[in-house]
Amino acid sequence: MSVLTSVLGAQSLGIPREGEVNAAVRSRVHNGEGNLSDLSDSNKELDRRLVVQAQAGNKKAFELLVVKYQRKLLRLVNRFVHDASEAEDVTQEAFIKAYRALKSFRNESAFYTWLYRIAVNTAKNHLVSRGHHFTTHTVAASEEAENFEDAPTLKDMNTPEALLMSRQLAETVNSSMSELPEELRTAIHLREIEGMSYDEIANIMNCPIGTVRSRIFRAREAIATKLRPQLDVSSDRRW
Amino acid sequence: MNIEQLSAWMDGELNRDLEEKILTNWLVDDSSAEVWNTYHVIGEVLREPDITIVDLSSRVMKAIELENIECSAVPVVDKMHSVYGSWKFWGIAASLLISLTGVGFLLSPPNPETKSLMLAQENSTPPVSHANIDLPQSSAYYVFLHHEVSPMSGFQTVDYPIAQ
Repeated sequence: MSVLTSVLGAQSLGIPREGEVNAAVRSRVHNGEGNLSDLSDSNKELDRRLVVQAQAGNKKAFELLVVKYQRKLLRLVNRFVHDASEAEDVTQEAFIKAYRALKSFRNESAFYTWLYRIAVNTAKNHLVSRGHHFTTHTVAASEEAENFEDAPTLKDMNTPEALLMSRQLAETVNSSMSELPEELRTAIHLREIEGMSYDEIANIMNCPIGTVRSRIFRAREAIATKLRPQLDVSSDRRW
Repeated sequence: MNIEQLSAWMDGELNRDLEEKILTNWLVDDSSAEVWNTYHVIGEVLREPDITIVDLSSRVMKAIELENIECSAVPVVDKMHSVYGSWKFWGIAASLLISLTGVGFLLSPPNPETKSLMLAQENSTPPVSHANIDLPQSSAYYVFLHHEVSPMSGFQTVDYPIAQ
């Protein structure tokens, strides 16, 4: 909290410049205070509940998990499989394997951690079947694949159309954010980028949790209204 | 469907009793999947602008349907219970087996070899009962079996002299 207020300034809780926010987030993560959305306890708990539902036979619950993690997993698989089409196939296979093995998942670790390992193994098996050989270095690198600094970035492997689509989406989201009223922009920023809970946001913004919930929802809906036409187009394409 | 509830649930900030309602609504309202996807895209683009937009969920779920993969949770049994449970199970099974075997022997007529053994037994040992009770054939065979499988026991009776 003290890092955040020092970066943002005591008086203003408006959105800082992007560099300042990123530095604040990195600092918190480095100091072990990070609470990025994907790793938060509430996120793990939500995943756990969805897994329980899926294990009980609710396929829609598993579909929600697929929708939630498909891009992240694809990004991970892309670090092994550079061809975009093959990477999608491998990612799809990883999800199917996860579903087949779901009954043996005991919810003792985070669902994404378990999914991550399945995806890495699936990608490796794919490469082996294509005649690649793994060295010790490769194995070690693969274990840190997602955060491996020297690994090729996604943009190096994407097609020009995919890169253009990514940029357009980013521009749409950023321009929508800048048009939001300050309280909505602050709320969604603190939630999505800072990974704060509603309770923490309510403390910072000095408002009830219900208000936080409403602001985040309205911000999302305002951005989604402008984003949907682009997403409808992208869903018809195969990168 | 209440999309604001969906937004809160996505952040893990919704009451659990509403969660089941959301998932139930999902089964009849596919538009919720689109909202879920769009909201996640917003968050991911804000955190990582280079994200690749892709929709694999429909392909994955279709593949699962085609393969007819069923997922049923296996109850988690703690180790101690499983050990105790298995001992109990096998104990009961063994008892039943022995009982059924015994009943089977009782009900089935003895083969000639066994019968000859019985006769030999009868000739070499004292009478089973001082009261000269004429045991039915099945009981006699049970006595024989008892002699055979219980080396420590002798089927004896004790005469208690009656005080005059």
